[in-house]
Amino acid sequence: MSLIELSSLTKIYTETASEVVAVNGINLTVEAGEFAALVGPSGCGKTTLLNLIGGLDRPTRGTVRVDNTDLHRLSDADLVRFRLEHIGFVFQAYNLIPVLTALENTVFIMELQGIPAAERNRRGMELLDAVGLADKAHHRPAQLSGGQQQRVAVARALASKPAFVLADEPTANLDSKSAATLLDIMVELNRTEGTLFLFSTHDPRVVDRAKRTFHLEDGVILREERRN
Amino acid sequence: MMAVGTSLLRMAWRNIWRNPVRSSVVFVSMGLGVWAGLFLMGWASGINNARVQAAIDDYLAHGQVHVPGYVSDGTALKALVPDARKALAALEAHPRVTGAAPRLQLPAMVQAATGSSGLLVQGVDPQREALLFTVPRSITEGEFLADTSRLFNGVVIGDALAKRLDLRVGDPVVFTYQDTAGVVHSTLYTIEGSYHGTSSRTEEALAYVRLDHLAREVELPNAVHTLSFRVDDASARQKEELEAVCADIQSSLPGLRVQTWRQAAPEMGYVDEIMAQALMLFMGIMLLAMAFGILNTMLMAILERQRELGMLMAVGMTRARVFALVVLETVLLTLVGLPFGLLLGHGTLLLTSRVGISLEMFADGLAEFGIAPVIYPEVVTHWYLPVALMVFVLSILAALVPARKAVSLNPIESMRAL
Repeated sequence: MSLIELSSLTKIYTETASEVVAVNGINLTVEAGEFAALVGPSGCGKTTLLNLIGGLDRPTRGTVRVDNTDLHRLSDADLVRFRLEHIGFVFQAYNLIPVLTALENTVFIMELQGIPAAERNRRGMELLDAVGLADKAHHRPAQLSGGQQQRVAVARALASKPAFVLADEPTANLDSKSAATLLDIMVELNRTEGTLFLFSTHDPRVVDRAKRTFHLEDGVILREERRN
Repeated sequence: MMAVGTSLLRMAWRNIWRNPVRSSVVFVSMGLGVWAGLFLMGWASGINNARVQAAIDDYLAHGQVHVPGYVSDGTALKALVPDARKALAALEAHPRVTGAAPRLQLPAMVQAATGSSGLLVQGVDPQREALLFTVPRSITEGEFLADTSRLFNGVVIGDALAKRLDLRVGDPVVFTYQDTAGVVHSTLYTIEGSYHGTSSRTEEALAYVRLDHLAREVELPNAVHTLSFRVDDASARQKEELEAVCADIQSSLPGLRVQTWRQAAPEMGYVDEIMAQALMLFMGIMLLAMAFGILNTMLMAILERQRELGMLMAVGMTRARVFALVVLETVLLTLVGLPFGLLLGHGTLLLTSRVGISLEMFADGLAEFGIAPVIYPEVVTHWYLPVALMVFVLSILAALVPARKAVSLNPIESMRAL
């Protein structure tokens, strides 16, 4: 059964003098447990599409169904709750909370969910261990390298056991070695946790590791590729 | 919910230390604002206390007994206390009363070779007067109506009047006044002494003669307008306590009116109340300025953290929690700055209330208002809670604008912000 189902999804920005069609009638489905990527050059609409799937933006037309819930029929408050419970986010620029340690950042979502301290700390340490940062649990982001910060962001995204993780250009700011380590970790977590990862990227290192790629241009999917 | 509360508190606390210099500026300005406000309140209360104390020591005492209808401007010549000796004895017998003194007061005109002046002649019992008032102990020249004096028609005037009319001990002066029948009397007096009052106004306005002499001159033997009394310190300290003592005295003096100094001189009490309101208003204005400082600081902090706040909302933090986070940060700023200001203010008031602040260079000007040249600010502990509440409420109000700004951020646009 499809976990994510997009139907005639369109997003038109009208704030500028001329209309900008960022996403133009996209239909696609993604299954649970996939490791997929939206691929394309800057401005092709992949980040907009990711934001629509993540419920961070509302479409002009069409629907986004996640686990049979039409996201954009939800109220703003319900959408926040839905994101909290079902979606993990990894952003391009790490976006950790600078005043919290790696462990506190990792368990932050679980705190918002009201999970007891003992359980969230256990899970947080497990995830930091999985991303190879157990020894940095009490370091603040400023004391970590870019790659390490992004690994904490991945741990945070997975902490609440979301249905899927949306990662917007997660390797864009990383050197080759850090990017390779991060991708190894995400592949492994995809395998062990069974969590669907959906990337937006134009980084060939990510594209090479994705099992399924959607190539976008001017807001439409030009082609789709699968590899084993 | 508890976990979220703790988490918010932790984040808020750490957030305020992200920019320690900026936060410290807020703490210090808040602390100095509270300190300055408290000191001003203590200072003004100290001045007012000194003014009230001077009036009590000069002419008011802690309480007064009159016949109903008596007014203190000296025009109610016929408002005499019947059987004043018995009333005086009853007053002196009261366990809380430490001293009582009779007075006969007449408005008069004093004439000397160098000029004339209007004043209020006080016919007093010198020994009892000394128990209640400071004038008998503040003689700068001559004596205060001493028993050993050969003069029966002696008068004690204030230094200011003596200076203005160029009078010295032994000089003759003529007092002119009316008796209750409207007959004008002129009496020759001899300056027996001159006193230093707590205000130059009282030095000009009050002259003291022997009660018996004055009563005889106006043909009203044993006449008394006022019985003034002092009570023990414990009773004098609290307004309610003094009122209770006066009510008790009243029950033993039916037909007379017993008043506290506040009731006898209501203008003194009004000044007290008006000053309290004015100080609160002043404090409010000062704290309002401080609140705008907090608002500005928090707004800057929010604008700097747009990206982070956008991320928080993106990953599932509700707008209510973001709002709470910003308010909490402001409250924490207040909770650090406020005790600092309270402690500083308390310490300053404690010290200055003991050692006093000398304003000798303005002594003449202050004397015009009955204020001693050394001011002892009052430790205004009763103001601490209202001030703390005011700071707290204003800081929360100041947090509303940045908090509103924070929750109005669009997560996507905020995360794109540089």
